[in-house]
Amino acid sequence: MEQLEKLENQSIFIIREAYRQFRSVAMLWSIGKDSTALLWLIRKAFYGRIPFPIMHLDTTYKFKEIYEFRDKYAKEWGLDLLVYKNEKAIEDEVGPSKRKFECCTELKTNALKEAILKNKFKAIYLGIRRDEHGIRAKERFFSPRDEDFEWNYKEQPPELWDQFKSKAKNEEHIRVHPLLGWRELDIWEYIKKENIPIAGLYFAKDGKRYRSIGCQTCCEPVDSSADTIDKIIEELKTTTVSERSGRAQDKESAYTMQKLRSLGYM
Amino acid sequence: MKKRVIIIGLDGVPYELIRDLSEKGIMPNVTKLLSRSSFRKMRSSIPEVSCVAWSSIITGKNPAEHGIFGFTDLCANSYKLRFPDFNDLKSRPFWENSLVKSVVINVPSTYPARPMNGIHISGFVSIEIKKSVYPSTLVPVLESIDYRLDVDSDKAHKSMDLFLEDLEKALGARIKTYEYLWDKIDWEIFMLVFTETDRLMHFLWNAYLDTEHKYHQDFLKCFKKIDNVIGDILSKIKESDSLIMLSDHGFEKLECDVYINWLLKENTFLDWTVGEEAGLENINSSTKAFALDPARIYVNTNVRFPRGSIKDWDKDKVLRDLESLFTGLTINGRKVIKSICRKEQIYSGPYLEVGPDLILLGNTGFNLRASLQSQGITGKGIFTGKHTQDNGFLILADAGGEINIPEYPSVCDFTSIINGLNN
Amino acid sequence: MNSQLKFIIVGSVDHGKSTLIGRLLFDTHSISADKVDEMLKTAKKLGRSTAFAYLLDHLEEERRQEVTIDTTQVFFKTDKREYMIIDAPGHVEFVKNMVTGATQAEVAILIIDAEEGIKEQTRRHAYLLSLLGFNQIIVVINKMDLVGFKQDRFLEVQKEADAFLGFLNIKPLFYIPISAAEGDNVVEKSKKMSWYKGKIFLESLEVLKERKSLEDKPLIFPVQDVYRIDDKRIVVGRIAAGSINRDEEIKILPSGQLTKLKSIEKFGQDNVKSSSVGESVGITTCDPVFLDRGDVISSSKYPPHITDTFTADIFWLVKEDFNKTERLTLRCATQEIACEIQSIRERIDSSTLRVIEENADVLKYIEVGRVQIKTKKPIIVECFNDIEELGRFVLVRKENTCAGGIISGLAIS
Repeated sequence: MEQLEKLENQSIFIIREAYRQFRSVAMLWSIGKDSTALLWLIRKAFYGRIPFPIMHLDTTYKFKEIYEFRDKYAKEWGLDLLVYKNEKAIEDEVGPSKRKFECCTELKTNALKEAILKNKFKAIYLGIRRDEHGIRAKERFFSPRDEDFEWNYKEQPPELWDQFKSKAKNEEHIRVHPLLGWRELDIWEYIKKENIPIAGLYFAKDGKRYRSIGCQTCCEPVDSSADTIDKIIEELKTTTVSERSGRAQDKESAYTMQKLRSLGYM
Repeated sequence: MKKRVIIIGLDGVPYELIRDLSEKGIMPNVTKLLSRSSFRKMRSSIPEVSCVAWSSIITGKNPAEHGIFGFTDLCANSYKLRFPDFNDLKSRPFWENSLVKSVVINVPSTYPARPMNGIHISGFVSIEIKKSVYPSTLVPVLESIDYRLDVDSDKAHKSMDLFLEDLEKALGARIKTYEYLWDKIDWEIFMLVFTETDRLMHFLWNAYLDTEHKYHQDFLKCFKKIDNVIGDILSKIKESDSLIMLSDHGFEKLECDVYINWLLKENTFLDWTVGEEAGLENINSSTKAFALDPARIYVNTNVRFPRGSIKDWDKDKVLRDLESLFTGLTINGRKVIKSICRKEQIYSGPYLEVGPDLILLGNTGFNLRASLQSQGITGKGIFTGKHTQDNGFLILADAGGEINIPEYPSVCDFTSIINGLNN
Repeated sequence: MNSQLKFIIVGSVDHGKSTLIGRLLFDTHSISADKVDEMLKTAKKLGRSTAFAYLLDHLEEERRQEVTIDTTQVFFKTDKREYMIIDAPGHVEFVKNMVTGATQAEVAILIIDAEEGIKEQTRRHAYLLSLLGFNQIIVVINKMDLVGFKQDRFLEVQKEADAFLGFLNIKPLFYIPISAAEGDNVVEKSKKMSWYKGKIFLESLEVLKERKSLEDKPLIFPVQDVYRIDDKRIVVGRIAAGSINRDEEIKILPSGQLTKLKSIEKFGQDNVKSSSVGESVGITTCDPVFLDRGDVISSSKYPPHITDTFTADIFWLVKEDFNKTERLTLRCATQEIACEIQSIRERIDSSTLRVIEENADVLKYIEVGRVQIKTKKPIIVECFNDIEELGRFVLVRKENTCAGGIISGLAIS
């Protein structure tokens, strides 16, 4: 079996396992390429009749194209779309320019908390991948979060073969990661193979394109001339920039740390 | 005639050293300047580190307002360290607050540089030259004079000779940059910070104290060069110009390092999972408190930290226990801790919550460090000098002579002083 | 697309797993260009002699910060195929993670420090690999630079390892002397060990096979769930062995009912005629039979075994002891059922393989038990060596997995 088929079948298996285990579930759709691919897989798993809501956490700092894309396909695919905003934080003018510290926590995490508590979801599907960012390499397919939404990555339950963490206790929810084993390139090849619609921001305009899409204010496009999926795949195969370089400050840390250490400041 | 202000920063230089080198004739131009100036001892920030102190100097705000509490900070809801930079500064530096055209060179904690009315070259910790300079057209010029963002302090750990060589190059390039930019634009504020002084004092404070020391002359040489710059400036400025010199904190002899996290561990405030290496990410839920450098202590509360176990109503008790632990701490019969500050006593502002709960200041000679890797409570490394909080300096040669400056100013008073001059 | 081989590197802490991973990534140029570039630059700035040394520091730093993208699961590729490395933490505290990692891998690499030789954790990992049914193992003897690249020492360690592994019925495919730190015999052939004529590490990986497909076996299709879509009842699951064909006669277990397959359902595809092992599919049947999760659909001619009693090796993964009087939940494929452990015939120290006790009443953290299990009702199982998916199971206590198990024998009723 080809690698993409393996990944697809594995993901559908996980999607169905989680729904069977928890029933009261929802999927988090950021409208980015990963979660749109996940949505596609979920549509396949349930024969186009997704039996749970698709949730969008709206920070109000998203790109305009994202909203248009969301509304178009929510209608076309008959999604039960739930949009969540942390109204209070937005009112308090929490935002990247003003209070960068709290922006992500308030607008994303707290909105999710509120949505889960309100709807009593036991599990949430997310489109994260292991190769995407450092800490995610430690995620499991089913990752429990405690009542404070904290992830105890030191004390994770074992996940043997395809036997995943079972029912959530009342006070916790489970994050389900069907795309964990996919890589960025796999996602694009799948998008191409399945002809999955994708937001236009990923394609190069004026020599720049987005490799990942978070909030408009915290994302920077990378230099690229890839304006078709084929070109993106080609670019990735010969890639010179790691995916989140648009967002990442990580790479400068080692240097800073060394400088601080050499002066005894750390 | 426009009133111009020239600000010369000497990172880490204590009040007493300025007086001493002036009296000894090592810094004759400073002596000249002092004869027409107010000369004050100045209080640094708490903690007394450059990033916090300079952030206060350029904004006039305390850490709970400007948001910079140290070279490192914690990611929200986490034990993961992050390195705050200029983008994390929550208040505007003075050069962004007015339409005054400024040249700002090498102020610590202003990386990455951003657009402003004038020229900006950021200081420690600057990573890439391209992101350290505004406008970017200046990059090739700086490269052509071999501009150094900082002295390569790694070299001191290998060879003091190589370090001094590097320091001389960095200082030389900094001076060339000043010379080049002085007439480049029609500025009203010109701010130049020398950080070489701090680097030198960390490694060679003993060479300052000991006139027989192999590197005593090298130590003085750096200050002589800076004095020449002062002389050059004095010859260039007009009567209507004001000149300020200042440091962000003082320095003194380092007797020994004292490791706060080791102490916390020994006294069961801090613990990590058995078998794990010592690291903040590995601390477990029995931890009551831990420290970040240099001596910022955080109570491991359940509202703030992922494995926090201290409930809100128990926090005060933990703070009191910590205070009594530190109050009683002696080494070789000497009290180690000079003062223990609760954040509410020394800070106020919207970011108070994210600040450390307790900040310690050491008594003379005791260099407080967080360190999780130490093998005992004390240690002594390569460093012979350490920062002090109470004896930075401020020299003000005010053209109008009308400004009242406090008897014992603090770094937070600086912006109101220059505002007074500009009006 | 190329195939991908997943392998795990196990062994004692500090025997050089990260160094080996770093070396593989570095020498196969598998780190993205900007990362290498950045490393070279930073290494230069920091005055490190080689970028590789810097890379290792970098991995170490990430490990310290728990952002171990490069040490938990990493990808690299050669001209021949792609690889995914699953890094298993060497510390005893992490046996649980090691087992989790190993169950996702197809091939295992056991790393042994040439200077230190076999340690407690080396033995435990090897034992767990044997329990998990690994038949493809490569042993690398690392840090040859510390023993002067001497053949004598290599042979000594090999002999010791061979004796131990032989006892576990593991026959390693290769023993390879390497120095991950210096790059000898990993991707480049060593000039310092001309006495070694065998395959170097990367070559040895290239000849390994992916886990063999169970396509030729009789059909096993554990039912995951049943969906009602319009007027259809679609039975979904993933094919565990064999293949499924339209109009084929199938048997439903445990009821034993026979029916015919009416259609294979895949979203967006009409008229699917057949599907085979590994595919997540849905089916409809000709007769309106009642089916639910836990049922197993099989070929009518060669159905798997049904029994309520079998023997197994289980490894206890949690710190709270197991007591024989407890009832646990057993999960095997999609079946979930209460069970009791009738006897713990042997309680075994997973490091020394010593039998601690016969006919024991308890099983403790990271011990292995040779046990007899009785389920509340008959279930569909096979020996692990025949059909893996029906021969492996987990035991669950209070909704947490506390043990993994491999079926070694069935009581035929």
